[in-house]
Amino acid sequence: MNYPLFLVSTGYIRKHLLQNLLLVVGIAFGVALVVSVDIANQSAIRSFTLSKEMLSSKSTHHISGTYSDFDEKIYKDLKLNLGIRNLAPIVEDYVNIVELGGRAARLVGVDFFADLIFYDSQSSSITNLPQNILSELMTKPNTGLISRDLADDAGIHTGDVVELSYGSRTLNIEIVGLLSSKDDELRESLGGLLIADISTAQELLDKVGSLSRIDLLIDENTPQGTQDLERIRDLLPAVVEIKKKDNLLGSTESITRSFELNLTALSLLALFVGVFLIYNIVSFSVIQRRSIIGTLRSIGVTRRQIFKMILVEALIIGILGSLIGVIGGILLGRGIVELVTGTINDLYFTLTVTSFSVSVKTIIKAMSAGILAVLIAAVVPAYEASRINPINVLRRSELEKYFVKTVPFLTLSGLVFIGLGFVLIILPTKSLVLSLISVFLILFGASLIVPVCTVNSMRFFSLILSKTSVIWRMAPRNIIRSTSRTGVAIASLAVAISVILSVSIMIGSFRSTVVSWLDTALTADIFISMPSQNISSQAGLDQALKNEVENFPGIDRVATVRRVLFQSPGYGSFSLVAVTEDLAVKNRRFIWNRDDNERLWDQIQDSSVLVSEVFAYRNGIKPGPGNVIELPTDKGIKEFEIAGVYYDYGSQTGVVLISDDLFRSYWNDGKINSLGVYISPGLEVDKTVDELRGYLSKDRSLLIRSNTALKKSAINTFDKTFTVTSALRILIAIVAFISVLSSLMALQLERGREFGVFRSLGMTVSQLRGMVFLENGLIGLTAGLFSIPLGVTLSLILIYVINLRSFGWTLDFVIKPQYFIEAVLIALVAAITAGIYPAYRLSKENVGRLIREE
Amino acid sequence: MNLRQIIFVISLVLLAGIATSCDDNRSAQDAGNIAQSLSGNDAGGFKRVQMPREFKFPQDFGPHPEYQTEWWYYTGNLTDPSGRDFGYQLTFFRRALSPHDIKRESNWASNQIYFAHFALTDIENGKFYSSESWSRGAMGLAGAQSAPFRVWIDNWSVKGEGKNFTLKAEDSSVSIDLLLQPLKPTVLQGDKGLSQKSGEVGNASYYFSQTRIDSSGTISIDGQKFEVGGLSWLDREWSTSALGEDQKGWDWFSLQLEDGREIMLYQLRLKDGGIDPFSSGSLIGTSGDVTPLKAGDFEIEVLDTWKSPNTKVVYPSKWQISIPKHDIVLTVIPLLGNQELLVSFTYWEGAVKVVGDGLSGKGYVELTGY
Repeated sequence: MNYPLFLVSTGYIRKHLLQNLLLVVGIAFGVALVVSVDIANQSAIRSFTLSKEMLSSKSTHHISGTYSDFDEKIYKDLKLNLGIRNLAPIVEDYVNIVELGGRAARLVGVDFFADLIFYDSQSSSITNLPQNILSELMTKPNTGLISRDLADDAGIHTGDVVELSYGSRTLNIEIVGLLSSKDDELRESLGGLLIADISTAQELLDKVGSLSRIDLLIDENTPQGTQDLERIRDLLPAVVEIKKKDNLLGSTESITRSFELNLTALSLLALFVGVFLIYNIVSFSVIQRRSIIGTLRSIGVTRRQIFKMILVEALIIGILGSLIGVIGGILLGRGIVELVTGTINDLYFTLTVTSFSVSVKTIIKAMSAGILAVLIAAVVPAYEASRINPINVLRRSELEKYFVKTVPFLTLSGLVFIGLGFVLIILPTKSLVLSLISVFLILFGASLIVPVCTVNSMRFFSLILSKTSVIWRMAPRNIIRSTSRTGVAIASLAVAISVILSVSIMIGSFRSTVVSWLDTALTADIFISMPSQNISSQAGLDQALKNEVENFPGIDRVATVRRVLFQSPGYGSFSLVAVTEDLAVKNRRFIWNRDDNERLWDQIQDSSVLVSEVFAYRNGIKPGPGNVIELPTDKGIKEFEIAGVYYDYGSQTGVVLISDDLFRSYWNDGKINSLGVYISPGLEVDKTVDELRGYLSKDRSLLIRSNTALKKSAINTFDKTFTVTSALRILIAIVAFISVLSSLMALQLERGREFGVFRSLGMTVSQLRGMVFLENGLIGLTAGLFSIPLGVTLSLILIYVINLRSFGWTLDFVIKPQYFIEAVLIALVAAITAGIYPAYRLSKENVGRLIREE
Repeated sequence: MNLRQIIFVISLVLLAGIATSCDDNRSAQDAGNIAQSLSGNDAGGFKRVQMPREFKFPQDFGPHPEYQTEWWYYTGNLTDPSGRDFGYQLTFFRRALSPHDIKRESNWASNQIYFAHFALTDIENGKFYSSESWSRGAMGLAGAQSAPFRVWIDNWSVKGEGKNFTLKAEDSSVSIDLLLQPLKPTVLQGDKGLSQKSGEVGNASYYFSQTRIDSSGTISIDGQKFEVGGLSWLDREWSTSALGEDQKGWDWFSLQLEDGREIMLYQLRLKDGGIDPFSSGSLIGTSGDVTPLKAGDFEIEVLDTWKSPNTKVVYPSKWQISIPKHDIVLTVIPLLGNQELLVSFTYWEGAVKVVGDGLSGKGYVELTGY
């Protein structure tokens, strides 16, 4: 850009500072969202990796149980009978540190000697463990180590006793030493660990006689290694597997991927709305400078130079906005990271380390996204600017004429995009990315048909308003006259509102589905469970608790629930839930079942199971007769018939529901997770809850809740899960709001001469103000109305395609009128707010000056 | 053998250091001090070696957990029918973390740590193999017992069968499987088996040896098997004993002469370059009669050195040993220069040959503190 053109640019920007400021803010918001969601996703992955830190960085394989810990004799057999070397036994589980407000940590019991081989003393820059500490760890019960960072956080010193909660028990562990590492990553992951001798861990976690894991170092590429693996596989029972270390992270991580992908899509949506904003403002800046550009062209400035000038302007604003966005995104990211990791903790697995990491990649990605969005949005207006003909420049209608010509083309391509979007959805695939792309196609296509809809709806409004005063009749026609600008404003508003609407419908549907599911799933009057049940923990309650509760006066009957996390090669990770009776009985909703609900339960006692919809979807099981699943049991691999596929929203990894008798006959497990208590008729639930609390909570802590309280807490968890989505929805609304505000404001401010003429013809300021508000109101209303079919369509895709592909469950489609009222209201408020400043300005302007301006 | 105690202690410290990253406001450089404290301060509650005791066999082959430290030290020179020579070392150490084992629920709980070193010298190919094993004395993974005698870690073991022993150990590339038959009565070292290490009371160990053990069996190197025969040497020692702060290292010789006699000598090197007066040894006659040797009775002169390519440490590698009272002058020459054990604690222990005026034989030499 040469100097005179630079002056033109800066002069313009200075003169329309507010407009350009809004543009910067709009871009900044869009970029901030992308940055913060990306940070949240990256941090979640990092937290996951750090939480899973194996300590044995050199190990290549792991032996672990498919559903629980396994017999420690296996370790002895491997060592002594098979002569396998380079093994390390681990006993671990998740506990909560009471001093730190129940923060989750992993208590890891190691054999300090066996682990030796897995450490590279050079790379882990390890200092040393004095012999007296090693001696204490091994010979003194209930002793352990924590990281120096964690100790500093919690004000814990060597010699202090730390209180941990585990299942229904409270554990006390004396800290005899502090761990640290010069390696940043190792140090960070140590923050989520409590390290103890394997004997201590067994005793504390009530796992005497069993191991959680054996780490191995085996070179698969040698004949000896292959042979060893073969021999190990032969030795292991069906419920114990040996896995390569690489595969370990994969299974759980992939479940959260859809969750993260959905967040990314939402953040990109914000940027998408931002593109409209940029397009709006940049094309506006061209319109406002028609005469200058015309003049420049007539004195010999080339089309190319004009094109470049507009692009460079946009680019500078884009860079500025993106930079602010990156900073804002990092600040915003902190909050979002917390929400995201919180959700992961609630639904997927226990994170013991919450990492907040901002990578350069994230920043580069977001900056490029911001700048690219600006360039894409600015190319069309810049091209239009370069096409401005010095002769026609003063004829304002010229542009509209040109635009009117393109409307059919826009409409047609809009329909094509929408069609393409629907084709992508219909494709028989489980791809989440494809369905997200189709959402964008549909949104884009819909925005292209907005101009034609605008014209038609304004014609409709002018019909309605035909009996009113001339000023009122003018409003819709004014909008039609400037469709090139109003169309874009309406489109961006409609897109944003439809996104908000669809997310509202989706969350609302989800919530009401979950509420009604909770009603069917939770039938017992009182539920007894463990207070600190980390989702990944294996802690359990003693089966004897059932009898204890049954003997309590006023108890009609007690059902038990045992939930174990299953890791099987065939079905990935899922929950195996064993119940003594079907708590849902009659009310359980099935996609397919072999027999009616009540008879079904009697039938599945011997060899059948029920699976949840998610389980069936994830494993490609078509609901219907003849399906079987093969599960490793303590009696070898067993086949179970699937007697029904039911709706369930309690587990995103899927559930296999089995009768307690069947479970105990195939798996050696003596624990339960919770009890469902039915009280005798006529008794008060809350009173019985209080009595049970007094009776049961002597030397253990149990969570005893009434049906209502449990449901409430389940709904709370649900709401917490959608906090991020809701937050993003609001942020998208803000971007849309800014977009509409800036474009409509600019539109009105630009009409200075027109207003001058109206004033000189005798219209009062208040009449003009009325017209401004009416026009904006009509625009808002149109956008709001247009967003309804679009939003409903999107919500259908969200519910029946994206949710299914992300999580594998079907939700009931529930629509409430309030969503629509909300949508139209947001649109109206945004549009009308945009009229305030122009209306205020009207009274300040001098009629003479307004007319003279041109 | 104090030197072995040093090895043990330092190994333990290093192991512990490697096993987990622990920061107790001490730096790695303090390892030496910790080694001192390990053997010195933690001895409380353990029995100490203060007066001669009555040895009972075979019970005393088994462990003595009331003492802090104990070892079973086997070395030997083997030859296959074609005359190819090999050397081996298999050593088990026991260390108690506390004097009393408290009753615990977990099978992994133990106050005993075991570790072992296994080395094989392939003289013809100039190759030396060494490896180590560590374990807690729990779960049957490692331990020692007297009746029937057995000491083991994983699948490395020595088992008693009557008066004989079977030795088994294997690493990724080498293994040994030997039957050991003692040819001479057990030798009580020092004063009737009490080996005083410094002037302080209790700084001593109970120490006995089997100095001439017929050995036969198989060894394998990279899948190739050799039928072998030869002589082994056993040192058994237990104590709760501290090291002198002025001691730097140790040169230890166990020599089996072809005339049927054996010589054991150890020389404690002091930090100031001198020789500790508690250095000693013994000369065992053909019938098993023992003549104790005091520091002044023998002289060891270094004739050559070898520099380790791995650790750059310079070790002596040829000696002239004179015991004037018994008219013995010997030259001791390593059968292979590189017999440096690259385990948690690096030291040199290897097969040697003995030449002298009318004398010849084989043996083992151990060098630490270099």
